Amino acid sequence: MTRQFEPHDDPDIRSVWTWFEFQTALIGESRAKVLRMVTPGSNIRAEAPRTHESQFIGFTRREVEEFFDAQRGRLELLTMLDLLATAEAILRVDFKFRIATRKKDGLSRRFREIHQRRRDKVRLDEDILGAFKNEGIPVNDFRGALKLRHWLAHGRYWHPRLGRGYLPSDVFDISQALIDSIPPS
Amino acid sequence: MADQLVDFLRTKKEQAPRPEMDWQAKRDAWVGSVKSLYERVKEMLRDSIASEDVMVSTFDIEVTEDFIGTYSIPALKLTVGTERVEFLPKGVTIIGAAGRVDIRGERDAVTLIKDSADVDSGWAVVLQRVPNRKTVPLDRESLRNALEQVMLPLP
Repeated sequence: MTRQFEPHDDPDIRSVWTWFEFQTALIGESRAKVLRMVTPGSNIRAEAPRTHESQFIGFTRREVEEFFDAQRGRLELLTMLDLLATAEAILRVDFKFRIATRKKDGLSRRFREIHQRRRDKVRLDEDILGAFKNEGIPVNDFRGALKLRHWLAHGRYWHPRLGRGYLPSDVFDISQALIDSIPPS
Repeated sequence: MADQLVDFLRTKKEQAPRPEMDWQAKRDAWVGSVKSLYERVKEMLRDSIASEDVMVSTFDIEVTEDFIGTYSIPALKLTVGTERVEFLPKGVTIIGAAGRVDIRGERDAVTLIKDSADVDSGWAVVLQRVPNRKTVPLDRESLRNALEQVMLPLP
């Protein structure tokens, strides 16, 4: 079945976080289930393994743990990318709203000026975050996280110089702080 | 007031599966199975060993496993010219099989799994794990394929 791709006009980083927590719990449950198979007397063949479980036949305990650590790691990377992409969507939806409603606040004025200049080529960092900064809204943490976003979105094929480490909770907090700092229009 | 931490840990212990297992006997049977595997491999390679195309030797390695602890078990080394291939036992407490030995060469590794705990039971070569696991019984043909996979390609 071909999936229909439609615009998501109400992006929400909390829903990303809820998804992350649910997936984390599923990985934890699956890890515990597979680790129980390592205990003596367990026989995965007798229990009619599902297809994705038969790959564990022959695994030692350490290999099972490494497998699930890798699953968790990949989930965390995908979650951080999703959080940053969703935060960008929130910023761009707000940008379009301010353009459409022609509000008089400082940020809306700056956005209109950017829109007149760049039309549909508005850049997240230089334009939107630049306007935030000019309005006195702190953007440095989010700008730093955009390096992580760039690295994740382009396949992680180079060694990133991020200047700090990131966990999903860090990316959530940074994104939420920026979203919370968007002034009312 | 009852100590909830003590109660929790006691309950966990009481509910934990307590397999009645003679671990020393299991380990000894496993070591015997591995030695038996090596005899089978040497038999399959008999002609090549006789013509000195393949040199065979064993050496001991240490393996550490849950329940059993650390023990010594022989590994098998095949030398073909300047290239080495090792049969390295990984353990007996593994998922869904009665033991595992990896064939590790200079290019790749292939897994052998044991069908049952019986010392004389068969071994299977794992051809593929995902998307669907594929195995074939260990015989001269599958051993040749395994060696081709783990060793450097012919020029």
